[in-house]
Amino acid sequence: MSEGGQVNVGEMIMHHTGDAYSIEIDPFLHWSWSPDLFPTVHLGSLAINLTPTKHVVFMVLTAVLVFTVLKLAANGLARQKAGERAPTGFAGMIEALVLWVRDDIAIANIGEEEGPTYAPLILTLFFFILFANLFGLVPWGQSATGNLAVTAGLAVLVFLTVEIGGMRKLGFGGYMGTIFMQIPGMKGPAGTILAIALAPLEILGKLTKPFALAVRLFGNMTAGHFVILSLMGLIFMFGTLGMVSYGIGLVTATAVLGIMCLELIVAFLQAYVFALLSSVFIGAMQHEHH
Amino acid sequence: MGEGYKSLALGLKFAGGIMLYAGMGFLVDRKLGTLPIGVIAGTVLGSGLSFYSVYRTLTRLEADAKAKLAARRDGAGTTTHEEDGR
Repeated sequence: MSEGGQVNVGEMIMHHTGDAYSIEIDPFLHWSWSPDLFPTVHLGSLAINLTPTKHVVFMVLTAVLVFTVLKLAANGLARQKAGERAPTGFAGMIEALVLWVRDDIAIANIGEEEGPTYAPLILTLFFFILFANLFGLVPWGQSATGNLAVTAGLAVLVFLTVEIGGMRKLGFGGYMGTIFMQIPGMKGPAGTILAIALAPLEILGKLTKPFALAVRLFGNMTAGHFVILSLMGLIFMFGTLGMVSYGIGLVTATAVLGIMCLELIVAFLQAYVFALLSSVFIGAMQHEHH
Repeated sequence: MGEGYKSLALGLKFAGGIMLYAGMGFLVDRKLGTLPIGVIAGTVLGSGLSFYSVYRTLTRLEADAKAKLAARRDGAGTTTHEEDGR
């Protein structure tokens, strides 16, 4: 922090939650790179900068961590199963989590038949989001899910799965039936006109679900970091009050500890909610009928 | 589990539908130069259609839930899942 006890708390919060072309491991390492490290891609009038940012680095780190942890757990599990032993320790914990997500989230909401097909996707979403959320709670860490582009990317993945999965299951005609709804009791041209008038709303309804998913995850993660950093900012704002500042520091640190515990719950909860809602949306589309 | 979540983003659909039709009315207005009429007509039309769309979704969800409940009552105990051994 800066000298003389004068800290711009707003700036500090934005610095810690915002994206940047740098990684700081205070006080050991300050690593920053040029935004022009990678070539800019032009798509029509759109210029896309492909240089990785801080959040991209942490997203890749999260992915590597998820792969490593689950691979180690799977190897341990295979070893224990080969030795005719019940799963214990870390591998047993991961197995319990995986089975819970597969059976109680994916299969319970998508259906007995289609559930196993989509379970790997739901599992991937759950563990990636969980690890990304938890990454924001460790020292020097950043959550990739605190970036709207990352959560929107995940939501687009869910959206495409819902729509393409629906098209495969229902056939092209059946899929079009989810956009142009048959109105019960209305035949002839009036029903057709109403169905066409309702079509934009049905398409909008398809888009609002992933939108809500993306915004919910992003909002929850960012808001948690904001609360923690704002409370921490209190210490620096009142740091010039002499003895009183010690009391303020103590109270604030206790409050931050409480919020941190809450954040731990939120990290698990949001991963659960994202996986659950993705399953519900996929399941609703699979069982669409007319 | 997860039954009620199907209607989760319905509020956004309702609000977004009104705005969508109001926006369409505005585009028509800009083309024809009849400014307030299209926006007003679009808003009214959008409100009606959004309400009907949400109403229809909810009645269908209710019918589904009732059918599922009836099926569960008829074949009690057939829907338990024991796939842990797989």
